[in-house]
Amino acid sequence: MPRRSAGRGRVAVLAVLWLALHLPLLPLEALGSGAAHSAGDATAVEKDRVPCVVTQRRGARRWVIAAAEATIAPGTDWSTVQLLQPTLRAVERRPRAEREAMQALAAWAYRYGSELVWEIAEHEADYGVPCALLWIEIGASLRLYGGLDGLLANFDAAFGETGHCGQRGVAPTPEAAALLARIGSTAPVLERAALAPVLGVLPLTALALAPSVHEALKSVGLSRIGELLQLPAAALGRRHGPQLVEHLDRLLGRRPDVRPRYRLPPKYQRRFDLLGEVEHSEGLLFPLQRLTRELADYLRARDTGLQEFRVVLHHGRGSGGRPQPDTHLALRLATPAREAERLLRVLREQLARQPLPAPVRALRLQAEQFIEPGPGQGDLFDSSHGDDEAWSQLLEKLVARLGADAVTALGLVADHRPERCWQTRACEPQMKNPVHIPIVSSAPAARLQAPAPITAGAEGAAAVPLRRGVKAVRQQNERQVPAPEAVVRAASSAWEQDRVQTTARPIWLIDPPRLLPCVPQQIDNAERIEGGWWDGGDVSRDYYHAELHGGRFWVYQDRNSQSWFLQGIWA
Amino acid sequence: MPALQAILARPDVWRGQDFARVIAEPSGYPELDRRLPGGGWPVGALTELFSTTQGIGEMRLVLPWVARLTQAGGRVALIDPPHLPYAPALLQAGVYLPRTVLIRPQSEAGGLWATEQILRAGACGAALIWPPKLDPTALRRLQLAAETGKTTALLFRELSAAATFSPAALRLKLAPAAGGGLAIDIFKCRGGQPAVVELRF
Repeated sequence: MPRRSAGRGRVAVLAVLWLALHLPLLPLEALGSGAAHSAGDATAVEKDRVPCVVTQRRGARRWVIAAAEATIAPGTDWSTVQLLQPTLRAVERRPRAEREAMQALAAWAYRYGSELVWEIAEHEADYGVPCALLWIEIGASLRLYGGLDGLLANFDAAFGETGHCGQRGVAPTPEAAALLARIGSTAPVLERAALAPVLGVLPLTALALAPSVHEALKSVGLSRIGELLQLPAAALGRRHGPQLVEHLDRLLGRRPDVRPRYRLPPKYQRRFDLLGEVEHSEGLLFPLQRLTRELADYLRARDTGLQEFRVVLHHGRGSGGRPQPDTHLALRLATPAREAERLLRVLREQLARQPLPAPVRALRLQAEQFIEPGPGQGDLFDSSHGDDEAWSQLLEKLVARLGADAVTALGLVADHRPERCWQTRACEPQMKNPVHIPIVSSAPAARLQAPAPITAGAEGAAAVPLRRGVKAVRQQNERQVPAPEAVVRAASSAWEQDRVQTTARPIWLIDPPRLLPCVPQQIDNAERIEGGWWDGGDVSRDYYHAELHGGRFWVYQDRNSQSWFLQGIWA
Repeated sequence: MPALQAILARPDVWRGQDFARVIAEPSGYPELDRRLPGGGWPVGALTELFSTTQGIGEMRLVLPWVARLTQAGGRVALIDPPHLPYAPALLQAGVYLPRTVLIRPQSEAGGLWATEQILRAGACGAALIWPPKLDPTALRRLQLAAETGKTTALLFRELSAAATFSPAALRLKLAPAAGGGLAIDIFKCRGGQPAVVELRF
């Protein structure tokens, strides 16, 4: 009986395939003015709308390295450009911003392959114009995207959303892919054997070689790459140096091309210099949108999420010419997240809370602690999941706008003193199952086991000298609540259950207690509370129910000072 | 007969049976629920409770419902209450404390914003609101938000505001009754009849 051969016909040969991305306008895009030609830039400052070019200088020479207009070729001298278009504004190149933009793009590209290389090379052949290239090894991801066509379609669509402008080339070797990207040939070359015929018809100038080599090859009478490839390698090496042979070998994959892979940094930090000064927080939303999107790409590439991040606003000089200190915004999410929309929403609420103290010149986004977000899948029959999601998003919106102090949950503290036996605590973002929340205790544990507070309510009536108005408080208490067993269910611990059984407490607490000018009339239901000797806040009080103007109040007499206070309202 | 069916199929013919279809949460007081359409606090709508003073039993009126809601897994938001809601008393009433949210905004605008967000999100089943002075536009916004989020919103307001128009589904006047009870005057009630109820606690 013939055995079925395992996986026959499905043995996927994971051939190495590189996608190179050439970004000719990176110096311009890194400045943030690349946003000028993308949609939705209604908030940019008017100054940004002036067309500008990025220049570089070395010695006395200053030349253009990137321009949005196609009429200005990179490498043109700035003085020439000024003569042709006097309205243009020149901006000095910012190498750090370019590197950070490349890192952000690399984090974005992680979804297409884990092997990433990027470089901003400055070849002399290009008149000193830097050449920004990003390589992604896509051979391992082809099946994920349903083949090369699916991957490239996905890539083109997603790349269009990044706001960058670039050309891609696909080839089995990095050098060939870069060459195809630089000349703008989008047709992929899939096999090494096909490289020589495809590249052979291209002009020699497409090769990234030193100008002297180009000159020498031209003087020999060569004009196409194919002609160069037909020459014997040994002779070429002798005449034009071993670098040329090495370059050709790497181009065709005859020699391994080892490059250091890009690894994502363990901490995230991104600085973004604005071209002009932004005075209103609405103007920051566009760059922040871009930054949060990059952060989301980074989080996705690292397969993690975050709960806290920081945004620092660098200000220009204030009205008095004095440098304004930076504004630090600490942002917190209710649950770990990695979606750009959620990060931006929290940022927007925080910015809406306070006006900018001074115009902003630069932004910095930092994140240091990362938490993996919980798996976003729920029980098939659990309808509370959507609620939890809505709740955690509502919670972080409220906290961002109102502050953490204004949005709290109520809790209990194990203490006898009425003003100390409650607390506010941060709201739980998720409440799938009732969590057992420990009772915070202000008193030493051993002492809590000591006899309960001396009360003259139902339990301790005989033991306490107070006799007036002793009533069965508990009976009255139980009439308020629908069912005693339901009340005990609401209590999440034995201590709380014990708490339910004690005498009734008013719904509203007056904190701090208000001193009453006179002795209240019609008092009833005595209860003595003593405690706090262990932390210096010793109290000794007799509590009563009092009636006044149709309302019922909770008053007490301080046994030391004999004065009366109002501490609660029954409602 | 086909002629009658054709008439009934017309969208502009109103038939009385749609009238009473109000979704509501029982308040926990059967004598009150009998008078309210749907048998309790309307879901996805505003309910206004008017009283001259605090402390006449308005919280005792709503706490049984709040307790049941929190025990069933719902959340309750207390927005800008006049005093501190005292946690031990809420627990005694049966409220599951970790599902309470106390909102104490710094400004009136912040409070109104938070109220609208909470009602709209639908993540809190109940909202007890002590609003500042509200104009009809703000009330309508809140009503729409409550409809969107299917939140039961109870607003505790000054008695003087009862005279002005409001889009709320249910409007009650509360007054202390003799013997420690609460007299409830249901003077507007969408889908029901005005009535007066006296509760004894």
